[in-house]
Amino acid sequence: MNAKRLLEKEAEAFAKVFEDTGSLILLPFLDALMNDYDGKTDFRDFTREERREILLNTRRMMEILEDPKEDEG
Amino acid sequence: MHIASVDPANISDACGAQIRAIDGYWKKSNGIFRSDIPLHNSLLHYKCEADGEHLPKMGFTGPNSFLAQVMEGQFGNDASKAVQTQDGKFVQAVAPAFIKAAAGHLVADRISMEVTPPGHLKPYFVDYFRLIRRFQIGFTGLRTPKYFLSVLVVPTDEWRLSHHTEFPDAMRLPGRN
Repeated sequence: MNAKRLLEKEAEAFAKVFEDTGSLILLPFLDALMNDYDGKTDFRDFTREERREILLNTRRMMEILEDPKEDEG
Repeated sequence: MHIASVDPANISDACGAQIRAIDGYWKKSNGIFRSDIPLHNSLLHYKCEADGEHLPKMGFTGPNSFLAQVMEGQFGNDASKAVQTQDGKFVQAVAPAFIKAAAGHLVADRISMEVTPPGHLKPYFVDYFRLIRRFQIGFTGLRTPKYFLSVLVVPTDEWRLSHHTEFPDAMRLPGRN
């Protein structure tokens, strides 16, 4: 339980990178993304490459969310 | 090339459990993304748009997904784009289903066709199931719901057998080279 909470904090920290454009929308996605890394319970367990991977995936999702075409419909 | 729709609940292949897990999850959660989604690292997330000719923009590539496994990261981060630029025929064949999916319907198909990966001159036979479902990200009650398309791609048993890399000859199906 404690371990889970630590990762939630990490998800929030990642979400803050994209704060201006609705980080709340990305929180469940980030949570699921980090649960994929088995055995990682703390942000210190992530390697540099894994962080980069998380940020890259999140940035791509964010780009899609920010796409102006999305607002037309 | 052959594309046939299948019933996700009745797939007897080894990957059937994966398909049922994802299909059941989307049914249960009514298409809303939550952090307890099973097999998230096998999914691909696409932008929710379709023109019937191109694949939508890719958002998330699960590290365990079939696409990532087949490509093994050798074509940079955008493996999907690499295949699209190389093999336009493949894109034309698979893209129409995204229209149906973007409108909110479930797409479950079995696809048997040939693709040409980047840097290869010879096409390769692929045989896989795909499950496309529109989902909503964020929280419910947004004025404009934010949609994405989730795609699960899993190879059929036949493909697995003929592409077993550890013992290629022992596992090869008779009658197929």
